[in-house]
Amino acid sequence: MRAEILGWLLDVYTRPSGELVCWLLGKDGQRWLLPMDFPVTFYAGGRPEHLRQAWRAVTDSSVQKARAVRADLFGREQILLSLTAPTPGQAGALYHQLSTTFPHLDYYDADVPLGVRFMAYTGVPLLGYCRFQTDGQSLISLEPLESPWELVPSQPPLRVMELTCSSDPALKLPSTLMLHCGTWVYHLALQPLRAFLANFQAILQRYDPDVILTDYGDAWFFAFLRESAPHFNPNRDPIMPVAFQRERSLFAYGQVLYRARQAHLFGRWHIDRCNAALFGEIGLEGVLELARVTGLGVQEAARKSPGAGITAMQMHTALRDRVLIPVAKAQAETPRTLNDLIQHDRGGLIYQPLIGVHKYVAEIDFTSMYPYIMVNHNISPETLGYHDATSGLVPRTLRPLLEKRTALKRFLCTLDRRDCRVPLLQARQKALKWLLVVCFGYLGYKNARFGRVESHEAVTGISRELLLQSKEVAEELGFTVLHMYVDSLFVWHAKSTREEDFTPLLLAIERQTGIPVTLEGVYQWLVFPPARRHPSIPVPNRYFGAFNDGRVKVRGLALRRHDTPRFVAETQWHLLSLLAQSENPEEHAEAARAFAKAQLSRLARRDVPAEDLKVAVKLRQRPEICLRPGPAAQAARQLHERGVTIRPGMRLFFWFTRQGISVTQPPPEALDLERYARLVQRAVDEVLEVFKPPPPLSLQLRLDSFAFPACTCPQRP
Amino acid sequence: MGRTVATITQHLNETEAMLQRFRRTLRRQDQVLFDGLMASAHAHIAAISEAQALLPFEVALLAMLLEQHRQIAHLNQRVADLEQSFGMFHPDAR
Amino acid sequence: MMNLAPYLDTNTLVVLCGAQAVTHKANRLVAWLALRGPLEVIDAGNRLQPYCLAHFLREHTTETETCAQHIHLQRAFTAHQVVAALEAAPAFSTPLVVLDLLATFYDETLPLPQARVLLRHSLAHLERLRQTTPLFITVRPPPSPARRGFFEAVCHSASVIFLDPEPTPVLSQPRLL
Repeated sequence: MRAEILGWLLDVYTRPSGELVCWLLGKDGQRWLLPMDFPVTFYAGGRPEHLRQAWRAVTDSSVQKARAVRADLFGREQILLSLTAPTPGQAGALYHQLSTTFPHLDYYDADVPLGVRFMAYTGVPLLGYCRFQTDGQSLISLEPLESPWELVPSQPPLRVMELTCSSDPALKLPSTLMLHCGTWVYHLALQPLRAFLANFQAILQRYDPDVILTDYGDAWFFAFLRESAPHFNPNRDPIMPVAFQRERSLFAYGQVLYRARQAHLFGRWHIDRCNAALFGEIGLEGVLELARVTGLGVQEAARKSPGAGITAMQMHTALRDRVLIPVAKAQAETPRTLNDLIQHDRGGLIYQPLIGVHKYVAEIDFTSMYPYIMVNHNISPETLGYHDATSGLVPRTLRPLLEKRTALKRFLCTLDRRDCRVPLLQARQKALKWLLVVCFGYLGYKNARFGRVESHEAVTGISRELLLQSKEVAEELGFTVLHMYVDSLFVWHAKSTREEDFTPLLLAIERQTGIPVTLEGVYQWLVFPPARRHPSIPVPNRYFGAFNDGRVKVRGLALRRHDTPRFVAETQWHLLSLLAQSENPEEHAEAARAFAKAQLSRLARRDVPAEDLKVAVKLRQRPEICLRPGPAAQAARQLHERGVTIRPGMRLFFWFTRQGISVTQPPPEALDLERYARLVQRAVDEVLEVFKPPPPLSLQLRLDSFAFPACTCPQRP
Repeated sequence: MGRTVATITQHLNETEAMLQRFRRTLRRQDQVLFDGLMASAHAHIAAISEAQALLPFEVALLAMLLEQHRQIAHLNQRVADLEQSFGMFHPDAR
Repeated sequence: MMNLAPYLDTNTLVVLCGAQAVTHKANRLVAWLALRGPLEVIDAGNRLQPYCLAHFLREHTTETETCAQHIHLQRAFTAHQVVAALEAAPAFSTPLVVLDLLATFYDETLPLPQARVLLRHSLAHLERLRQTTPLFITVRPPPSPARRGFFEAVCHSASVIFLDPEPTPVLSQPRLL
């Protein structure tokens, strides 16, 4: 019997047979796993004789073969071999077979994530509200009732189970697991194993969660489950086993990153909070928002970088607008002279701040400066050099994202901070912010499908010009520009102390640049400290200050570093809080020094919990290739000796001891207190150095002691 | 991908490293002056970068001159202030 | 700097091998050619150091700006881009320098069969270009032995090979006591 149901599309995936399955949640709370007919087309391009060979090599009669003419990003029409497989699984296998046999062919639309493809062809986004028809066996039709750009989308009533363990499994096998299911909390002992498995299965069946949030679920729990109970299936889809993806280390965003093994479920989602970089900041709500706008499955959106999200969005635009998506980009840079390279290959404008303590400084930020430049100036690989080009693929992709985030931020401004909607809206806004943050970098990323280094340079070139224009506007209005950093300015004026005093400047900058600016706040006082190497060298990315409303902002100090022990960070934070109590921080400098001294005494008395002295560092390379092993390499070796597998990019924890370092908590008498004291002293100096009294008067010009040096001109013969 | 040209900060640091033997040979008190001179170039990194010069150190020398000029202007002002406070007159004022 | 003047001929493919060859010497080579006239450079391994190059030029001429204009540069960040750059390189008589040709082919994320095909295409283009263009290539040995064949294939296609001298062990003065 055919039924028409209202509900949400939660996920799509392929079964081992290759067919596509949709996981839907009806408005009545019923969960559906329904297969759907979903043919997939991809293309191969190259020399005609090679295409003819590829045509002959495809012998599967269920695959439709055709000659197609399609345009690439630059509008160049290409003659292609079009291949349409009846299921996504078959299409994947066919692409794999062809690319192995014919590696010299160019492939298009072949590796698009399934969710993106599904969204492009049905118009239904993941997490989107929709109307669907089913005969109980398969999905017959699907109709979108909500766009991914809806400001306040409807919320599917998800059941969430949280699973935490009593210890870090890398160091010690947990003895107990805690399961939070709604208002219920279960404590399950891991031993005896049989009892644990029976209880876990019972809870899983009874609560039937849509989302399992775990700590160490990727690295340990689901692998442990597979080894100890091979027949136990935590999926809702009984046909599917848990899908494991291998652990890996990768180089991205200028650093080595570690991605632990991943365990993906089917018919429900698993998110390991310890293996999802952004989860701490954006939470489940942010992850759902990422999945909604990018088309990546929730489990991928939680674990992948925002760059993958931007790529998925660009792919969606390309599929929708019938632009070919190359599997590998082959377009090289346009030749240029050395002078041209030096002129254009530069980043954003970074000024050198005026060192010292400044009063009543306004921080003015451009809102999403780079995305606005890309949209307003139509910057995309195919539009570069054309003044009257139609909107490019990159601006077409970014515009709705930018509009949604701006609208969310405006909406948030209208709400009271205590409004219960604020945290969820903030999470969604932050998730979108991350996509916007990386979209610029992706223009210059070597593997970006729609990237081009010249577009990347055009964005930074425009941003530098706009910042210089803003400086000139500020100076014309009588402001002193203390600092500029890529997309923010710090300005001062003797008569401007309140937020409204800076409004004319904000309006003038907006008028001049065409990009919205916001006043981050007015600092009661702001410090730009000097570099350690020389007292007159400024540091662009290090400053701290207290806003008029009492907030403290810090950049570049020890407490912002991930490897600073909690005790050191808290000491520094407390010093800043003391200074922030007054509009003249100098008045509290003495109290701050006394506090620092007290903290050092606490350390000397061993009155600090060992947990607060734990250091966390990221392993940058394989420990065996370190010529001079630093603490991270030493920690890696110790863990390796304990049987823990270590990979570059992993975050390792240890304590400084008199013998070196220790990955396990040492007894208090073994701690290297001198080293911790040095760290504390350095953190204290970072804050208080600038408040030191000026040097004695000997260097100042005193007229009564002034004398001209004796003339030592050589005697003429 | 992205930028591959070294930043001006990197370039100045490399130049300083190249001049290490020059610095070493200076007397201690001159080394302090030398460090101050190099530091004054670091205060204008953004401007040096915006000059888009093939040889940025030439522009860095201009930045050092600018800082010296600032100090001269500052000292001139202080001398004028002191002269005024002591009732002295500048010859040009007559 | 070795004297490369005799190799500024067509049908000559000069290969400079080694860690030094792809860094310091490569920039010296580009500067030396720029002093003589226009040249094309494909930087396949982020090896060109513009300020260092300008400094080299300044050592020999006051016309630094003019000489810098002689250098027509193209950067390639993936093996696909290397092939595209070689394919688009004009077969003129101006010299062509390819810096660290194999850097992107050594990238472990590029599957070996695909890397082989792309290298074959690159070598074919180099063969085409050498008919009209003086060609200079810098390469370094692979970090892993699996792709050693790539290095050897480039060396085999060379007319002349310059090898970096093996690093000599650092001599330390014997202790007096």
